[in-house]
Amino acid sequence: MKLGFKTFLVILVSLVLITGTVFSVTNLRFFFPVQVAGALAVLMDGVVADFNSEHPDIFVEPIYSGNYDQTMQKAVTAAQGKNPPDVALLLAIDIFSLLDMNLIEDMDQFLVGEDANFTEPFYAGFLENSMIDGVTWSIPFQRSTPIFYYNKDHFREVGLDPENPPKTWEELLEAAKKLTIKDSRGNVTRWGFEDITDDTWTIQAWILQAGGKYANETGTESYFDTPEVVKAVEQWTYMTNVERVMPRHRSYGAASQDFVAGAASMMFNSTGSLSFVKSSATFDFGVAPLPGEAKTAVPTGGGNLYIFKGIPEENKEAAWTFVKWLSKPENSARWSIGTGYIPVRKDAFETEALKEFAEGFPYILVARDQLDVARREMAFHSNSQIREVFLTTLQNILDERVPISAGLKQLQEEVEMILAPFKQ
Amino acid sequence: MKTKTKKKILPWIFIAPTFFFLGMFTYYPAFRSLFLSFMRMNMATPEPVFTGLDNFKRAFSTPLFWQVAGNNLFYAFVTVPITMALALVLALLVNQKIFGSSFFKTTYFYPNVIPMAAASMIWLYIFLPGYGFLNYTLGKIGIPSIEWVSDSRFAMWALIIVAVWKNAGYYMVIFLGGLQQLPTEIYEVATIDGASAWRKFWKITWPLLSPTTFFAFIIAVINSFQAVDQIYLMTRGGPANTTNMFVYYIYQVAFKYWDFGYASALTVILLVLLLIFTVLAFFFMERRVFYESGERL
Repeated sequence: MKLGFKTFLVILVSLVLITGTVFSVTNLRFFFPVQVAGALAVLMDGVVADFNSEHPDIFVEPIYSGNYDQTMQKAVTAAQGKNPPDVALLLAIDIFSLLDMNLIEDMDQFLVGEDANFTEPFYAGFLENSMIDGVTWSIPFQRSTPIFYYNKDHFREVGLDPENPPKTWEELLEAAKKLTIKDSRGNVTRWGFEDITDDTWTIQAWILQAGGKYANETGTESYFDTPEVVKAVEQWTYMTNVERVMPRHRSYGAASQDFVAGAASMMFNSTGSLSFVKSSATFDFGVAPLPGEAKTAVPTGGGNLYIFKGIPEENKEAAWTFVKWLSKPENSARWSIGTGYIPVRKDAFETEALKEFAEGFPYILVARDQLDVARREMAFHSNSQIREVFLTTLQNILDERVPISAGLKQLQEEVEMILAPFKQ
Repeated sequence: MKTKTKKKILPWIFIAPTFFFLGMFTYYPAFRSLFLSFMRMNMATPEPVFTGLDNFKRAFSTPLFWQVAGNNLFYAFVTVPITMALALVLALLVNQKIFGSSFFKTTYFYPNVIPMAAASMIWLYIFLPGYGFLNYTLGKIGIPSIEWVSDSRFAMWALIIVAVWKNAGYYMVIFLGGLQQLPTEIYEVATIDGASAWRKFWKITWPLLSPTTFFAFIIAVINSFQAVDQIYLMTRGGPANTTNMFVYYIYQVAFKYWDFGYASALTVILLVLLLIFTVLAFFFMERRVFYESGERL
């Protein structure tokens, strides 16, 4: 009896294996990062399981690989060990690093025939980071922009109109001055405004708004010593060190913690923090597009899907099928509802699921409307290194160890040295 | 004849597994690093090109390299003496035959059992600006909130606090081992002669304990040059590289900037530095250490 069952099992397993080889299931390995652990990995497992059941000839194995940095490290080291993932979800701005190491396939080879207009419904601001010289290298998937959060209760308290958030730098500064509370010894007990000063993302918004730019399309030129960049950094330092209405150091997490605790009245933060703020804030809060200066603009951020080189031909086709499926309007909407990321394509907003979701979560529509002014995120060759020296410079300036224009001039020189080998 | 061959082969078989893994995961990577340290291999040059000592020259002419070295020296010079002094005091305290001394031993050793990653997360909460435990307590006595891990004046000290808290118990156990080996007769004689506790410590315990102290010192210094997990989790080397230290710097260069040639050169520099330190330490300090025979070596 017992033996019979075992034999049955052996036969079953062999059958599965044999049919597997007969129908030749293509196995794909998909590396993906999760910024806030747990729930999203479960969500991704569910999404991939649905793909697998719809596609009996493809089996995708979702491999949770840490945060973006760690996923990049795993993908690169795996590829260098001649065992690349088939598909990976990596930062959009890692495009130059992946190209320099010759690790990714171009997407243009798939964008033919019935898929020729595949990228049409995607938001242009998201696609900008996928394209170099007209060639598409990645497909946007999990994307975000900075967005403006404000505490409506605090606005009422100091006599500001809660339905009319600041629209210019000047208005933002005035509001921040009113909202900041200092005790008798001058210590700040409530910050009028917080920005993410320990990353180089939201400063890009200020640079764009000042009418400036940071990088060219091919990632070989930087513009850190231009008057617009100086103006953006000056505004930051003015708010932190002169008016003292904004703290010198904040991370994404610390700023959203402060905001929901009522220790900060306004902040720039990622759309990715929307779910957290919504679930944690015990007060009436509002979300609005970022204020502008010479113009209104925000950078994009987040991750794109890449297909790796060095995989068999049939895996490439299967990988494209998977990428295409993940990007379907319904799946884009599903991912967005589950995570709070902005859907990457316009038609996702026409799905029933997302329409219904937006009724309870109208902030996502504010984020969507801001996409019209969303621009390419800062991306260079040797991007991580340049981000690091940029951040170091910003922190040195905010901490008053280096004067603004001298610091940015030196930064520009340093970055030019890093970029020199990529200029031919 | 047969048994003789067997005798010769058998030990090799026994050490083979260890040797294999050491070779795979220690010696091969070490030699590979040495090899790559003479190569240019980065994103602009994916295939390695021989460049002689360029990577080393680059390190010595990079201000960040010197900043990292300075940070690491500062970290070592502050954490090692504080940790060891604290460990010795704790060891002397729990070595006394008082009620509950094993409870205290366990308590003091406990931080060492917690993985550094978990300990760093705990301390991140303690260090939170405004409502973290430390700032809350400081606030009670009128000290304004300090942004421990994100203010460049305090970030290094935050790391030092965590390191001391984490490691003191470990060195306490080492000192305790040393203390319990000390001969009791000498203390009895000293007591009869009317020596004070202070005098007994300086004239008996301290000199007799010196082999242990020496061992603990070497380990502590080497450890402080291997600090990386708390940096990765708490400060990421920031703000503005004020907490960037050797191993984290190597990690950044290798796995964030993909510059393997330069990273290998940094690894070799660190290795050589630690080797020189160990040799020097043995050479100079051995003369001042009493070994069990009581002779000055």
